Amino acid sequence: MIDRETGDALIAGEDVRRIEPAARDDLSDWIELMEVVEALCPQWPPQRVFVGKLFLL
Amino acid sequence: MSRLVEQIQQALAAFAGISRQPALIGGLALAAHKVVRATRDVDFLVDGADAELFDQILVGLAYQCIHRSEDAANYVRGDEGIDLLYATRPIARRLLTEAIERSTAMGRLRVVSAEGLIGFKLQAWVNDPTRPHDLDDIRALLRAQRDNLDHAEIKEYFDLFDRTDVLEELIAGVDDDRP
Repeated sequence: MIDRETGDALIAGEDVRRIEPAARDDLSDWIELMEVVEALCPQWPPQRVFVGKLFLL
Repeated sequence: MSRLVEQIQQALAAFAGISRQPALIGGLALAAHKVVRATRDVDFLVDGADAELFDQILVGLAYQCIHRSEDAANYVRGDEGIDLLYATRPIARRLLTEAIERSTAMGRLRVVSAEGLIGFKLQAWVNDPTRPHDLDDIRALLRAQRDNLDHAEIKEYFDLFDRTDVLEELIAGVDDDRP
């Protein structure tokens, strides 16, 4: 496989198309995903706090 | 039922009586625009004039405020959290007003537009460039909603933060992924 930008030969390349899985927009996919995440990681890490002061929106 | 879902539904029920309804933003709101990733961040955009009201409601639900400024606040309850971003400036107030009520698996709730989410993700990344997932989220939204986005509005946000070059790189990367 050849790097498209440099022309160098690659042992393992990234010359694949990104395929986004079809998703529903009613949050049901996220709920299903988080049920799995919660089962795998029942103890959650600490909450983050907002960083920065540049609020322009 | 997921503990997160219960947490969100409880908050939404508590917010139901507020005249200026909040809107979902952040990683969870991505899912309403067909970008699904694991996140337990529960972020709401709320009217800045209602900051005290939301504080009373969340404290009433046993949350503790660990940070509050004129722009944002963090609330925690054990290992659960809710973040509020206060809409006080014209853009955020418009995005809050224009947020669409959606029918979701957690009931009806308002969600900020994909363009608005991109703007808030950009703001978060500018404030903390060590958070690479914000750019990943923008990239994913550009991919998932490429035919539906108002690109002029998105450019306005990148211009505002003087990051027009970043937008061009992101769009070029997304275009490269076209089948």
